[in-house]
Amino acid sequence: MIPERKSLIIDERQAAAMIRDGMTIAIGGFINSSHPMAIVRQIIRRGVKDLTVVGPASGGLDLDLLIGAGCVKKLVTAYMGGEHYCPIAPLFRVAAERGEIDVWECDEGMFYCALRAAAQGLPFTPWKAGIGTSFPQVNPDLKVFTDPINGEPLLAVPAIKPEIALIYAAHADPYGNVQHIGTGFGDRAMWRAAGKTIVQVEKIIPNEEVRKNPLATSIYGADAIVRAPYGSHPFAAPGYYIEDEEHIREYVAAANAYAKKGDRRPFEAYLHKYIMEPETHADYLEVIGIKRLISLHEY
Amino acid sequence: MTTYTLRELMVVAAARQIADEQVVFVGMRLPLLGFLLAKRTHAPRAIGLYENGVIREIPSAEMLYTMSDPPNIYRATSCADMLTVMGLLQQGRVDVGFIGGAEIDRFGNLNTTVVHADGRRPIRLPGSGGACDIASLAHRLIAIMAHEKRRFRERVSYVTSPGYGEGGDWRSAVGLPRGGPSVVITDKAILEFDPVTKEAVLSSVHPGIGVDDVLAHTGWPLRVADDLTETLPPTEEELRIIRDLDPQGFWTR
Repeated sequence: MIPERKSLIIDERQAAAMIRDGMTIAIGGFINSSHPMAIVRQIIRRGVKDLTVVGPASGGLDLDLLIGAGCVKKLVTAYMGGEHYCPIAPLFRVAAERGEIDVWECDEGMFYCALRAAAQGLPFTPWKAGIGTSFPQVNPDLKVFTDPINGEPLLAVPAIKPEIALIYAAHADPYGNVQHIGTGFGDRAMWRAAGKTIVQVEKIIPNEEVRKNPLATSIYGADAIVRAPYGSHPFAAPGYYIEDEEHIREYVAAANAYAKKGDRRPFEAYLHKYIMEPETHADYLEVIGIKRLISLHEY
Repeated sequence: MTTYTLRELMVVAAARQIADEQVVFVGMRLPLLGFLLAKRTHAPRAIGLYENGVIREIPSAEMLYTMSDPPNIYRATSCADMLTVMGLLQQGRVDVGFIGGAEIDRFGNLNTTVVHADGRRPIRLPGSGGACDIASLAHRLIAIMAHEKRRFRERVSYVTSPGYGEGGDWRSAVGLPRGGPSVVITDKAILEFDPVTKEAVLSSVHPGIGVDDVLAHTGWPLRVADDLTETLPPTEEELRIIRDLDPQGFWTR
């Protein structure tokens, strides 16, 4: 018998209210897939500042949007682009070139080492890749040391502990047990490392459904669950919908107008239309429109 | 004679670097298609690893724009943790890895982080992704790049992904466990590396491209192999498969 438990379901406004100026937060997903966008948009609406944003290991236009909206002070990620939509994230490029954000330079392996050290309660994780590259020269947190077992050089990657991880997944029960569809990318690594984890899901499922297939449980004991259907939009959601190509191209065009021509108006218009004007995630979905949303079939 | 695009030739050249039964770290862009081609031709038992955690024994049924597209998840062997596939690299269990680059130098060091062009402000690039891990840890590294003078530089200003450093036995001297670039596939030619000096050597030019053209687009005096050859064009079968997978020519036009 399982004793009665308390539901951990909150809405995206309650979730974003937990994110305060200057915090270190992790954001899950991978480039154009699986970002907790309902919460991300609410963070922008609230005007949160000076965040240190950890990941994804390969970050995408979700982080570009946060940077463009002025929420980010420091970025920990190994890649910032939109693959075939744009090889380099436009507003990241501008902010990095002007020194408006700090970048913790790393590759994906080092990124996971930093989270793993935090998850294990260790000061660092050793890693073999990157020795001899520019990474240890430009990032003083990475230290080359001599392995005490074999006497060979290794890279020490220090722990990075996000205060809160914001994750997107397909399903969770009301008690914080989460089941991803697809790989889950680096989401579990973020959950293991973070002080608290908030998971935004497509659908709430009963606890019985979770226990029917315990091997599918990717995260247990998350601290809060946000239900936000189409909540990864405009990015993909494995098992539910593909990315909204037209919307992503609209974003890239708006961001590039600023990055390449110095005209910030299209990006401000994007922010106004899709983020500042709609008060909630449901209002955002109304702006996108039901026709567009249901056109985003997986196949 | 069948006509083909240079990008189709590059996809074919990438596929031919994969031997049967090898474990392949696939990477982004053209190698996504190159791996599918290899699986359908000479390397049906090759295993594909993707840095997002996907492990595949059966190739995806459809063309991939990115490694995280739904067709790359469907019927995968495993959707593992990203650190799991990185761990396979670190253990030396990956035979061949593919990466791209914005800049490459004489000793195969690659830059995808920041370009310091002469006298101009630095230009920020997307960063390593998994490229540094692949270049550090795979047994063989294949780089795929556009052949332009501004990209082929005497020395890169930032080493994102290690090649042979300053040449010779630099890799073992700094403590990298294995590997290094084996082949650079460009839209003009194929470069290999001198086994001793580790300097890039022009080993093959694509049909219709002159050696002078390659040299003019390389930012250092590129050595030409004594046994320089012409890149073998795609076969009818290879072209049929590529065009079947990518009928719109997204990657190949």
